[in-house]
Amino acid sequence: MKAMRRIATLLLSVVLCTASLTGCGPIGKSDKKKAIEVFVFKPESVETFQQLGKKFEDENPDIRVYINSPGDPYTILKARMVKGNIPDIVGLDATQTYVDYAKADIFEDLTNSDLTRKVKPSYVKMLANIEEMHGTVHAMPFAANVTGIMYNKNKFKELNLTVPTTWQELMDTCEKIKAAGQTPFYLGYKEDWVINSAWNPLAGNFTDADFYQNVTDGKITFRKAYTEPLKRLLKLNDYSQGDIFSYNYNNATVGFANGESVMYMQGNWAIPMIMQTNPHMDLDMFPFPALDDAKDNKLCSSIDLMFSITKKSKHQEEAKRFLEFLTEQENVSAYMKEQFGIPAINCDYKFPEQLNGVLDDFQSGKIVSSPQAYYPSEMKLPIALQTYMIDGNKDKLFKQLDDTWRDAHEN
Amino acid sequence: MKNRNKTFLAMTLPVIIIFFCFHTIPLFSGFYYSLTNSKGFGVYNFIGLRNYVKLFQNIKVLNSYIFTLKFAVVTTIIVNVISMILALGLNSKIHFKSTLRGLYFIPNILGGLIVGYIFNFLFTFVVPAMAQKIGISALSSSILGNTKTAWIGIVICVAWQSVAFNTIIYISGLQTIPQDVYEASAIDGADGWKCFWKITFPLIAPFFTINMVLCMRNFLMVFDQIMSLTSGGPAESTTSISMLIYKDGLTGNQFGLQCANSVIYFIIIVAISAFQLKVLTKREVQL
Amino acid sequence: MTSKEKKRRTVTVLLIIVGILILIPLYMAIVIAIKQPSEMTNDIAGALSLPHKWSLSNFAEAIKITDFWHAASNSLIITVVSSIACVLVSSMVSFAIARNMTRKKIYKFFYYYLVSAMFVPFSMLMLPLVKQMAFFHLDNKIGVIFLYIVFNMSINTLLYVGYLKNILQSLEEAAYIDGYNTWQVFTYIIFPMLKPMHATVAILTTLAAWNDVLLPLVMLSGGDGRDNTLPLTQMVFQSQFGTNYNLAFASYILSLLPILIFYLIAQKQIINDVTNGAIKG
Repeated sequence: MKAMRRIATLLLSVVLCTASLTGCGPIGKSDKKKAIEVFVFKPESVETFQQLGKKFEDENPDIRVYINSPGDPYTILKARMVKGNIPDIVGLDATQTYVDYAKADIFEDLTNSDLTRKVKPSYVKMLANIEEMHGTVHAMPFAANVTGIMYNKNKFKELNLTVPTTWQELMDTCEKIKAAGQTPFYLGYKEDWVINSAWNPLAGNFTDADFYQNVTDGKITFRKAYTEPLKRLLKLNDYSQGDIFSYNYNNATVGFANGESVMYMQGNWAIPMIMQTNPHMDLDMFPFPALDDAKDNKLCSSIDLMFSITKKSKHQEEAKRFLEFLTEQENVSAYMKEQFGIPAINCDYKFPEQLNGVLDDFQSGKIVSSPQAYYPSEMKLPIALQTYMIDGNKDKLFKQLDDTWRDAHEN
Repeated sequence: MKNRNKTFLAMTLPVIIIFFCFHTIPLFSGFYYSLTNSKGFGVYNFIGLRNYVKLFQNIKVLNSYIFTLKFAVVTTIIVNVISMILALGLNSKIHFKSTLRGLYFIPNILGGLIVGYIFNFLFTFVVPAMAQKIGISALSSSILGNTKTAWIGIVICVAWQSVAFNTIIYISGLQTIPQDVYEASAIDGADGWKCFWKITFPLIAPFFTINMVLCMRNFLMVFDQIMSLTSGGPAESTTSISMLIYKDGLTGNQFGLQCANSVIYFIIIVAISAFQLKVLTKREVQL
Repeated sequence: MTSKEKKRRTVTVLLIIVGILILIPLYMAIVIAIKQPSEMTNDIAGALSLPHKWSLSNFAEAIKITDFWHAASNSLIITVVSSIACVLVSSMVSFAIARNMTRKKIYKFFYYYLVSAMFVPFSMLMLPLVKQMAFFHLDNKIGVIFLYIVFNMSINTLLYVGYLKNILQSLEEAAYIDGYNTWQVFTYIIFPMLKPMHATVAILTTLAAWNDVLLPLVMLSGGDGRDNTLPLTQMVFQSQFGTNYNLAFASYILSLLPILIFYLIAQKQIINDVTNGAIKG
């Protein structure tokens, strides 16, 4: 009889206890240290940040740092926002996803703070432009990226090629490579975002800074501005390995690293993977020559990683201390070196030789901001471009761009 | 008796309440969000049925429904035909019966995501390389890279995993048929094919119904394999409805719209399942 | 007799051939996992030939990088506890429903209410659910287990009730006459009688929980990742080391291995139990 009751209670308690036993939160409360959680959207950088986190913990024994860098980061972050269980520091790239969060008042305003003062002014300005919130910024740009064309220096020497500086020269280079029986570009367009690395420099160079505002105001249409860059984007496919929608980013990166193509359109973030696959590769990069006149061509750059402090954080002071720690010369260098990044922080940094070809433009500020940062997230531009490459329906593409842009800007 | 009733209620009610809280309430709030322009966080407005209107005008949504239905119907048919054949084979008098059964069940226990990664490699590199060697030009490029064929790759991968489970169910159906039924038909002179249609199939019809309904439901909800095989591409040609809700609802900021989409999706799944049950069980009775 | 034996041989051989075809993808995965990157070429030989040197170094490295033991133990805890809880809770509810649904409308309603939930797509519930679970501080392992009980309730109720309907009630009636109360009848008479169905439910829940991606992905991804399950670590791994195919495949194999071992040990049992579920459910 008693045994009976006990079992019955057990059955119910399985259900009820799980409801009441809430368990502890994601971060252990047992130790007295203050714990901050740093969310970084780049899983490939997690090891670097874990090392930096350890170093910070050694220097600040009262704080614990948890680096969280999950697979499918944008979804996870969204789920966390919905939960209300928001990390103390959020590291994102400059896209409208970030802007949406900033507009939803989730991040601290960092305009004119000690943190943003350590950043190169051009990046603070770039961010303010992207946010379109009366010049305020809600993040500290940490690393920048450049999107251009990487090339295999040995193969360039072999084929007697020089770095092209105009669109026509690029086409000539491609023809020469093709004539020599080699592949100019390895395109991994199975993953749609990879198309961005060709599209961003093209579209960026063909439009000016006021373009996005003008679209919203109805002064210019996508059709008008994007017809030519689209044509050129498609032209590049003629110089690929073929069957471009079968290979993804990983496949293409490995392919280029193993010498299966002479050039590779990507950003500097791909360099660690290339060097990991082929440590002996002689690699350099040049700005994408999108236009016909060499002096008009600008280097396409964007903010690769920037950190925001969340309003709901219970440890804002500690979060700030961690970000300040990140801006220290030594730590900036450590990150940039491992990730082949470009510091957005003011500091002395010797760039790796793999970035030699883009340094001049970079230092003289001959830069165009990547258009990707301005596209609303529901626009899903790379998918639209991928679809266009397959079905060739220009009207459908432009209608979709117009519709989503209008939808995103009406409220 | 009165006491007994109390106990029965004590057994069910807590569970029903919990089920209501963690299944039905989220369902209702999903329905509520479908009437708003919510992004999933921050402030939002009530916009009535506008999401539903938008949904019916959206080509992307329509295409995803067409793909999902096509995929589900084709895969259901293929899986059931193969399972039936395998079940007949595995249930007949063969050597190594239990070993073979064990082997055929392996794909079913593996996770869809990982299996997708493995098939992805197979389709991208191995199959084209083989085709080039043999000289089949149609297969010399990856089937996943082409909008017309990518869905076939997903059918193969999903079928590879699902056949096992359905086979087992058919085998258990075949085992319920008493041996003397066959002996009687052998005396009547029925040959193998006729024997199958006239005797075997009607007798395992209930199992056919279970398999059809479960297959259809599972395939309409396909997600994991698509995630690792194509992520819905190329050109969104393999974006299943679950995938669309997940992608656009979570990362594309169309939470409200995709909630409306899931309401429609839910209605369709229920309608198809109800229809199947009705038609198939009717057939069972007639037979 | 000889023609029968001939037929038997032909069918066996055919089935073996198909069986080998089924195993090719797994064979490929294992071979690649053992090879070194230098042996990899993008052709058939690269993918399918046996490695020159047998080495488990990829596995060792993958274990280290993905923190395998930790993720595996998380997966194990979630899977085992969910399965046991599902068996206990679902069998109890199904017993009450099965014995009352012909007499009382409300139980019939309960039955259809629970079973119809099978057709609700998870993606529809996902975000509201995440919000709700966080509110109750259940966005952790316990919460995930809890949700597995809820989400598997539909299919489990279907199976148990179907089985219970076919059990003769005379034994229960005798027990009631002997003075057993309902709890006792359930624990001493019904629960042991449901044994074949328990195994079926436990196995189905185990497979579903072990292989699930989406639910742990949105529920467990807070903090330091100490709640990560195996499929989650694979997703991170894919984005970090996806270019090293050999390492990636070693990691895939690792995450498949525990369930494969479980299957090899309990193979006969599993197939019989799934069969059971189909016949009696």
